[in-house]
Amino acid sequence: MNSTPLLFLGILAGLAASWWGMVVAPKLQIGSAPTVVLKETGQHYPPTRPGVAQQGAEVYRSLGCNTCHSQIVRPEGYGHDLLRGWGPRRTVAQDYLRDQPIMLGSVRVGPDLANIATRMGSGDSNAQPAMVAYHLKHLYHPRTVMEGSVMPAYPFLFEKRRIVEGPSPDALKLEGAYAPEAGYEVVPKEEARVLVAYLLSLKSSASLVEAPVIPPPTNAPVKAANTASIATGGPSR
Amino acid sequence: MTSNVGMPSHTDSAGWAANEVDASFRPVALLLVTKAVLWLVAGSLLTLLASIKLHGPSMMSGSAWLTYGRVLPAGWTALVFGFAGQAGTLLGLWTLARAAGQRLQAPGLVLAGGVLWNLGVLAGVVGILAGFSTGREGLEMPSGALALLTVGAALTGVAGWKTYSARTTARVFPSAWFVLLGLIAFVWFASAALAMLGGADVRGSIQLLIQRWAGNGLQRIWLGGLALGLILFALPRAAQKPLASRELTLISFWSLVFFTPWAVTLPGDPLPRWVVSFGVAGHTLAAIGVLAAAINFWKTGEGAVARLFSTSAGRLVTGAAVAYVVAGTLQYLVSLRVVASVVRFTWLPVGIDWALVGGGAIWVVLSVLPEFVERATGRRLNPGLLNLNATLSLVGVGVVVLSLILAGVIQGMSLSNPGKAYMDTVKGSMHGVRLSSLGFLLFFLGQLPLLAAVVGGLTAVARDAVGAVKSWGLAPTGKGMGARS
Ligand code: HEC
Repeated sequence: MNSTPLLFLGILAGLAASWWGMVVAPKLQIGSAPTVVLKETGQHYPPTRPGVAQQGAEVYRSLGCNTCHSQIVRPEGYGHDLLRGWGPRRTVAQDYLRDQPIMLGSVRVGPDLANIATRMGSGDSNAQPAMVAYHLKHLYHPRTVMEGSVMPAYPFLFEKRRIVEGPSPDALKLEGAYAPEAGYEVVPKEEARVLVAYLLSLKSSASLVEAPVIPPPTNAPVKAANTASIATGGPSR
Repeated sequence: MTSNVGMPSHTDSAGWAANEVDASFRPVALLLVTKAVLWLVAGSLLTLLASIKLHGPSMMSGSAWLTYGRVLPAGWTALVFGFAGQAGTLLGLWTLARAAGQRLQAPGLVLAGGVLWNLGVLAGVVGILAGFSTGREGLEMPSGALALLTVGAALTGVAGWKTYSARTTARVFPSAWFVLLGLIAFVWFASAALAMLGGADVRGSIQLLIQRWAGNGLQRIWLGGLALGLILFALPRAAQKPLASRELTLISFWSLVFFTPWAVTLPGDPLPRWVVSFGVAGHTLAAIGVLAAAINFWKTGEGAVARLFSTSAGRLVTGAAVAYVVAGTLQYLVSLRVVASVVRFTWLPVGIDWALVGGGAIWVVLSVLPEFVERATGRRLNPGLLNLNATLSLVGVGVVVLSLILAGVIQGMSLSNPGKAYMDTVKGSMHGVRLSSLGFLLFFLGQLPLLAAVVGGLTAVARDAVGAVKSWGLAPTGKGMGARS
């Protein structure tokens, strides 16, 4: 290997081989995988995200929520994501089909969010307004709903304004040290609303051939230790 | 001009023209070193801010620009691309030129490449702070910024290869190959990422593979390779012994080329089974290169420990060698399913990143940079300031790495107990995370003396040059500044 061109070619060969193996070949295999039609509902999976949720994904990306939150549920035997209640099954390539960009995350300073939409009030449409309210308050200041949280507050996604003709219906219900001074109210800006719409679109819970949903293990003491309902101020995890 | 700096003498590959080689780097040193050090200051400040923000939700929460999810990747971008990569490349070119016994060829390309590079880092850091992150870990800078970096690296790469090809000696210097690898690797991984991640039709899981593959390539092959090459250059000099083994160096090199690029997936990833297996195999094989490096370092340093610890440059390069091996070993361990199921997604991988980038790369760059500046400009930098920089950098990054690894282990263990309430797992890991803030603080403070030393030294060089021109009564020709040589 005394000759420069050979060294050059050697390096290129090594780098190119990994590109073929780790990028091109997988792309040939799953790069054009279609959405699947779910047996139970007849709907396509993964569904297209509603426009607002897609805008919310941009806010999530821009604020770097994925520096602290992952969106991946590992199979049993690879950690306790399932036992923690972070999803009913592992996540697979299919779940990320439409994500642009994919925000899988690599560090969990906070809990996994792959199924945050179903973790609270699981699909009960009556719970929707309560979930929205919960997330908005949480984003305004996490400690309004979660004692001791270290997640950053995002007050700049909200507007504090003087109440003119009676309080607006979407004002946050804040108490104690977090409440604005008398005569003022805190209302979410557009960014906060779409971000919550995105969070409520995060669910990887449909039963798939490669990742069927198995009924949850009856692990009663664990469940009891972790379940907090929206009514008591926190999601189950 | 450069002979009076009083550095320990050593034999260069070709044994001649070392002074001329050094002097050919003068314009590059004058133009680019201060910029790199400024990125170091900015990056260490931003990562310090990110760390402080973890102490409570309300810490500097008023502005989107300063939110954790932006400050952290912006700081990391400044450290990796602005400082470690930029300065590492310059130093790499210098060791390459010395090995080849040649003056730097096409310095104009290096200067032009450096300007583009710095513009790219600026666009990247400001872009991330302004909210234009790509959301891709390790590649957060907006694609326009990455494109500037890629063109800059390509220009610099041409100069590097020209310099290497111009060598007159038949001997080859494998430690210099790491620089050539780094120059190619950057362009390769970055342009593939740019080309393949742009399209809206790339499926999520394929994006994951591309960004991990490129991110891994940039961190472990480009930056890690530059770092390894510099350690192999600087460790024998500090130990005043020849490098222990050429064969081991070759093993490390080809392992980096053929195995490390595959180390992109981890057990449990949402990808086809075979892809995950290949990735895990890549991690395992990559460990061979790390092991070879470890033996090489060990044998080189053996019996010279006192000498290694007697200078700040020696302490830094020794630290870098240890950190490089620690990072590589932990990277291998985390690819094992039993380990991954406990510590993956915890603070531990962050600690590993800091071991590789903060320890392996930044320490060795800090070890070699002063001598490079001194030899290129013929001006001694303030040794007291350099000493302070070395000590604070060693202690600072050391505290960061150890406390994050500790936090990760605690976090992983408590998450492994599914009965433990989630917030308790967070609280348990926060002690280590808060301790790391102290490390970030020391690391940041340690860069201020370096900035002072470099700015002080280079200003004096410029002043001398102006003085010389005046006293000769000549119009400035640019020669005194070494603008062309
Ligand atoms: C510094 C790290 C950090 C960042 C950045 C961060 N979070 Fe969090 N997040 C946490 C922590 C820690 C928790 C757990 C405590 C809590 O519920 O507040 C959490 C909890 C959550 C929860 C509740 C999850 C559950 O199971 O109850 C949601 C939803 C959430 N974060 C969304 C976001 C969004 C959206 C962003 C970006 C705007 C974000 N987070 C940014 C650390 C972070």
